[in-house]
Amino acid sequence: MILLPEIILTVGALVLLTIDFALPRLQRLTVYIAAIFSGLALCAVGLGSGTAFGSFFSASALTNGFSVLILLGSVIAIVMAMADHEVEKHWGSYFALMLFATVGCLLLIKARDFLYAFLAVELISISSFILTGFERKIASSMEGALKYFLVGAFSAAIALYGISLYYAALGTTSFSFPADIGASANGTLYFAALLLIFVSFGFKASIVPFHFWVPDAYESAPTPITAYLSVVPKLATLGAMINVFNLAIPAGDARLSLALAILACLTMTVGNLSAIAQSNLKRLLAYSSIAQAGYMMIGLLSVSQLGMTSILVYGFSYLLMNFGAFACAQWVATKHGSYDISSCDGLSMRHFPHALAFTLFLLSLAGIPPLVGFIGKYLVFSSAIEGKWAWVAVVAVLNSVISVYYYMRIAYRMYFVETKSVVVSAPVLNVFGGYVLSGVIAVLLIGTLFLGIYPNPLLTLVRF
Amino acid sequence: MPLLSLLTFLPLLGALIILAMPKEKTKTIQTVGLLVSGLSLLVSVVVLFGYDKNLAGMQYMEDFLWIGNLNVHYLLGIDGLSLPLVVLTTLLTFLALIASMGINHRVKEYWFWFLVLEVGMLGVFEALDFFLFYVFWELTLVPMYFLIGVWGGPKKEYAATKFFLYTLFGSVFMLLAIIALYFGSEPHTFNMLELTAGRDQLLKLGMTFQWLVFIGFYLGFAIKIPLFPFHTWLPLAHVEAPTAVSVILAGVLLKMGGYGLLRVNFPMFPEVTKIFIYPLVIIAFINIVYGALVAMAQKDMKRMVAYSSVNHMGYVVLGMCSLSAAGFNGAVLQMVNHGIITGALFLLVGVVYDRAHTRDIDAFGGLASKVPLYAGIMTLASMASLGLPGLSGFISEFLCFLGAFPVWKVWTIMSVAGVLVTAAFFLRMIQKVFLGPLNEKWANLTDMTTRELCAVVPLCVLMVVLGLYPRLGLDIMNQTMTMLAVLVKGGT
Repeated sequence: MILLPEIILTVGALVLLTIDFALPRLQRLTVYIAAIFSGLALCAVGLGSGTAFGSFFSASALTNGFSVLILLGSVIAIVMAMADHEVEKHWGSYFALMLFATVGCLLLIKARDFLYAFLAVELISISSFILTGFERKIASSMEGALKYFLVGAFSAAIALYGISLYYAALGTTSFSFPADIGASANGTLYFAALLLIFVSFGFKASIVPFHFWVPDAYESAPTPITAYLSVVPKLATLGAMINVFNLAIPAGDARLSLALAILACLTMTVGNLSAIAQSNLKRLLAYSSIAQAGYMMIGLLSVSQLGMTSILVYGFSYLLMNFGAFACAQWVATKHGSYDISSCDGLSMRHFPHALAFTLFLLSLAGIPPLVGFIGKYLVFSSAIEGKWAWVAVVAVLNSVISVYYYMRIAYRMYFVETKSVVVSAPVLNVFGGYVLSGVIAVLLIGTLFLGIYPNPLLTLVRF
Repeated sequence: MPLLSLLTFLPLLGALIILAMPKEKTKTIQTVGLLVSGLSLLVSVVVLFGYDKNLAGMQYMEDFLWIGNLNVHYLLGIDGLSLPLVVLTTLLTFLALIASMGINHRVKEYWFWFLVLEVGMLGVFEALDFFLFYVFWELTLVPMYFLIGVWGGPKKEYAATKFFLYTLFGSVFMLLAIIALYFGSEPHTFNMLELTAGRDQLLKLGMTFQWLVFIGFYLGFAIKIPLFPFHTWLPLAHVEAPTAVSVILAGVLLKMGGYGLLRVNFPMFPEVTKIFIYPLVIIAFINIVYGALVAMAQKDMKRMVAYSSVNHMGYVVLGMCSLSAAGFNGAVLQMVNHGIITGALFLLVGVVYDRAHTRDIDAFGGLASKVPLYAGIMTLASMASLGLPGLSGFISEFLCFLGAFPVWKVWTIMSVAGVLVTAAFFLRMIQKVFLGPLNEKWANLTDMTTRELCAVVPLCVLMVVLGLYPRLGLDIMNQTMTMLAVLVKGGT
């Protein structure tokens, strides 16, 4: 039964909603319930393989790998939310929405039909719109959510249009194609359809030039949700793109690959260059996550085993280091009341372990060995070189040099700026929340270091 | 007994111990740091004595499968090219740490980063697997960034960032070249020795491939050396870094570039090398003369020494361009000597800066009567640096010229001008700082302390010993260099 994880999560989400409506006294337990159901779903991954609902959904080693990433991501985000003071009420619906979004992600990577993929994307989108605007009393939160919603609705329309063209060209909406489609009379229609569908994927995976909603939405959402959005739906969308590339596109089609290569380069470059100017930690990490999506897209270019596994490995390293960086940012902000980069000033002198952890996560994001981010970057660059995309690899490495500049700007604040006291506007973190966040940081840091020095378990797991 | 791993990872052990200690216990931290780097030095000396000079190939090899899925090995080994540099690294780090006892700001972090830096540097010279090599190579970046950025001079943040970005820019191209080599070799391997042995197979991939990979490595190494026009990060980083870090920067980090050219570019791509030395010899000439002229124009002693490094590394590359055993011997010996001499010079400049808080050459005068010991040692180091016969710098520069002359007559003759300029600015510095009437402002200047002497004197002894009996170093290198010359010249 390949949809067991989805079913478990849906049941969990319904339980949480019931608690929200009927048993408000159990609010405090919701986080544990959400975590338990996610954990159960994680255990259920890979219990079956094959297809479900005819051939609309299908599970393979690749989708299982992505399912694990998605569920791990949602578990981490749920634990991070324990330290989130801002969502005191409606915990039940908060976690229920998170679980629904996760269900959408899981369905998206298993979908073998564009209509079902569309439904999955909508499930993710609608849940995330609400989560982004969860702090409804804060105007900027509403602004971010609204922008996200408008752009998301727009991209959904484009996707539907693309799917209708696809149907017109092939007479079906499933991921399959006649071998000679490129040369046939419907070839142009077919490629136009795929391009439109990619545009809508691009919105979800925050690929340039469809990324404009990202900084505002990421800044205004509660931090655990920001971390969640920057990792989980993005990886799910990339997983879906791998499926489409494998199943619905004639192998190595030059036009689409070139378009993808250019988009990947644009995504990295614009993301990194925009990040340089940011002074808000969440916005900076938002732009950094755009750039990271660009690196991962390189794996799509060469439709090879190496390319696919490189995305999976990069995805896993990204999960560890990006959640780590966001957890550190959340920790800093709740200690000092602000996400402004200046709240990092002199952190190494006050909280050396946290400053060191933050630095290591940032260095890992920049791809400096021996951290796990380097393994991911190495494999992605390898796939580019192997697939004769050397110029893309050159753009990518130049980008990782640029990225060091702004990642190190945070380290610079933490180590080089020597202020004894930082203006603490509202030390809002309760003791328990502090321990939780530190625990999350510690676990992610151990993963980042261990898998960076000894990546064998990870590489064996993805059957590289 | 895996001696190489032992001497490489002892400092890491020390760094982790220091990380676990409370930061108030500065004395204990310093003791632990000195102990592990001293032990590392001791082990490297043991390796030095156990090394068989009559063999050209790798010795003390260690090989474990590290990342099986990618065929990455933990492969260490040393030969006549890397052994002198390994010993230089352990020695200079130990002495630089002695000189760092005076640092009393954020002591724990300083010693932690310094020891991590030592691990990276040693690993670069020992690793024979490209993946491992790259990991060690990058491992030197982060500690250096913090060492310059926290404990440096007025423009430390800018200098640290520029250093980091500049070197990273070079090394990412090296990474691409490494990946290309991996996929170019059959079966895919990161093993440097196998890649060198199987270079004919790489030749089949076409000259474009050869050139691109060569240039990728060259960018990484040339920035490190630093060769014109990639030298602009050096003066800034050297001047802003604290004394001990400048010693390591000039003494060891620059050598990583020269080492890389000799280990990777020359033997693996002899066909490209034979063409590439035409521009390279001109670059070496520019480094020599331009570096010397700019050094002459400096008023700041530390800047002067920094630019003299650009000049001295030019000799190294000039020697390499000969593609002969004599030239290679000279180049490696010059790297070692430059590490010793410039290390001493940076330490000495640091000594006077600690007291006077200025390094302006014009601000002093007549110090010889006030601090005779300091003046004597400084003069000795300057003489060694300008190539006075009898001191170590002379032999290696002479060998570089000797090797290069038969091949590059015009460029070698023109490069000799660099020696004259070097002599000019060192003599001018000695004259302005130590001779003439005493500048009364410095009437209370004290001479060198025991700790400062401990750091500098071993280097001075080496200058004299290697100057009088250079075979001490040359015998170790000679076999390997001869083989290297055959490898480069005899390439099909």
